[in-house]
Amino acid sequence: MTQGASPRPYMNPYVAGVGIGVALLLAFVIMGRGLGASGALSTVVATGVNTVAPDHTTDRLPYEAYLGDGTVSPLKDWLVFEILGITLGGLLSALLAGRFRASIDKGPRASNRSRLLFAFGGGTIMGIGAKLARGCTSGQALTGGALLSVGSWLFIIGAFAAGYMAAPLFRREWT
Amino acid sequence: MNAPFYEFGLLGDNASLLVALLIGIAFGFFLERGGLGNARKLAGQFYLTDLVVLKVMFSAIVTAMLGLFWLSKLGLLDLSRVYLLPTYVAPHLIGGVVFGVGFVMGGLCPGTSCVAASSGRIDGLVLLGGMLFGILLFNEAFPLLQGLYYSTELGQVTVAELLGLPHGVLVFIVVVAALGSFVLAERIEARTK
Amino acid sequence: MTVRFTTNGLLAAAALVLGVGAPVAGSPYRGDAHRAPPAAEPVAWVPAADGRVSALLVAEWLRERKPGLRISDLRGVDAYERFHLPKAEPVAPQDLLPEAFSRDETVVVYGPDSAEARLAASTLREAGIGQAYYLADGVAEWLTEILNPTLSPDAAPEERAAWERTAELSRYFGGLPRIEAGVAEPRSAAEVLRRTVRRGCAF
Repeated sequence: MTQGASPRPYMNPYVAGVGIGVALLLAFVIMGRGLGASGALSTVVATGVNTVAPDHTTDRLPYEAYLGDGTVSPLKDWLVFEILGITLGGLLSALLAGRFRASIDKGPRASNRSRLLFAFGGGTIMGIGAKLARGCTSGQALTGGALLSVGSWLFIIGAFAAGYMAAPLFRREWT
Repeated sequence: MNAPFYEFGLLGDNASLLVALLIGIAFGFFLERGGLGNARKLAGQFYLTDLVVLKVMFSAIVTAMLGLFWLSKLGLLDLSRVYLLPTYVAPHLIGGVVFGVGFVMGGLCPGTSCVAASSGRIDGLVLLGGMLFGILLFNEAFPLLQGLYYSTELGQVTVAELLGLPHGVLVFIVVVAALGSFVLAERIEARTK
Repeated sequence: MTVRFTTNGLLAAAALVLGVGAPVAGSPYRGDAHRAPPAAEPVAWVPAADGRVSALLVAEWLRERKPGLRISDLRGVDAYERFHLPKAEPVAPQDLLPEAFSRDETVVVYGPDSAEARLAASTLREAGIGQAYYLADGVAEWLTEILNPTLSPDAAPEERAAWERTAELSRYFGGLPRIEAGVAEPRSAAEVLRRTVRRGCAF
């Protein structure tokens, strides 16, 4: 399915930001915790490995930390439900705005092949970075940022500094 | 009002999963509204052509930060019962740097890649796969990374506590920094148009 | 004179008002950063005469972010890396010296057994560190009391009232408070960690 005859313009970014901030605040007020994304992906990886090779995940960190004690499915997890919501919310907004399109977003000079290779590579690197930093832009930058946690702000500074420094390497992909 | 509700036992575990879903929907909805499901817009941050990442993220942080402060101040929320993420200096810094490199390379982050994938973006789906792979690599390499992972633990500490500033003063500084950065961002974008 | 109200202008004004008010408003935390336990408290919430503290009290100190709180883990680096209390620092018993602390700090010591921890705490107290305490059953007490607390279904009303406080603390640290009959068998740290609810993306 492809929309895109006349997709609506994007929302004012500050208003969108406030919307996200309210969602984050609701998480704090209702649950006493913030948002996250990489944690849900960790649960998915642990569940997958546990299904294929259960001996490998027994008594082994980090796997066992995401698997619970076996009485309930590890996928019955706050972050897993939240990331499902993120996916649904994105779909809903895209459909309403006429922005749903089977496509590949990339810079004008990039090929589909290079874009997908860099997407996989960048994703791999981010997966490692997010595990080490105990979260990603949602779990550390947004959540910890709002809580004024030292580690989270170090993460933000590190990530943005590194992004700007590494940007010249990928100029051909984006500009 | 006794908040956080879950901390006061006002919410069961099944209800909290429903809350997760609904909050996630709102989160994903506004991410897509702001255009953060589009890798090209996200990457534009690092080439100073499209600073939407700064605007959306910093607005969200300031909104939630002000909400936490004032709801607490008004006695509606017990801030000490909100889980403060612990600080590990080296893992947070190094993890951040590694993440940042991957971010400008891939153009999406974990949350936004889900939004991209659900709006049909194949690169979002591929990036999601990359992240699962990266997490697998980390898990397998964990015995080697364990030392770094648990190092330089400062515990749960806010920037205010670290600098010896009153909490409210830091809130003020962050608001001013955010507004200042927004003004700067508008100027930069106007110049690179 | 016309005044244009733009969305961005309104948002910025709101942020500025709330931001300027923040330093004037004082601390957002309730009461003092640490509060003294009220007089008629059950024993668990007050240090004992010989310096013993309960895991519950340590948990409350941690959650309130009690200023000057130091936690020393005497069990060795391997055990420390497998699991340690939040904010704990690994220290070899011979390196636990009074010079490492200041007089107004609150020190909690735990080790492989209660005798070692009690001795270490009393040595510190004798050297002038007035608020040196020990957690008798160390990590096991934390795992049981905080991460895995249970209440019997036919508990008396006063126990239920005390349970609320325990359960709140437990949830804050990612524990699983449960109301269930039967004696809770001792669980290994690994097993308890498996059952523990995560509060963020980390493990």
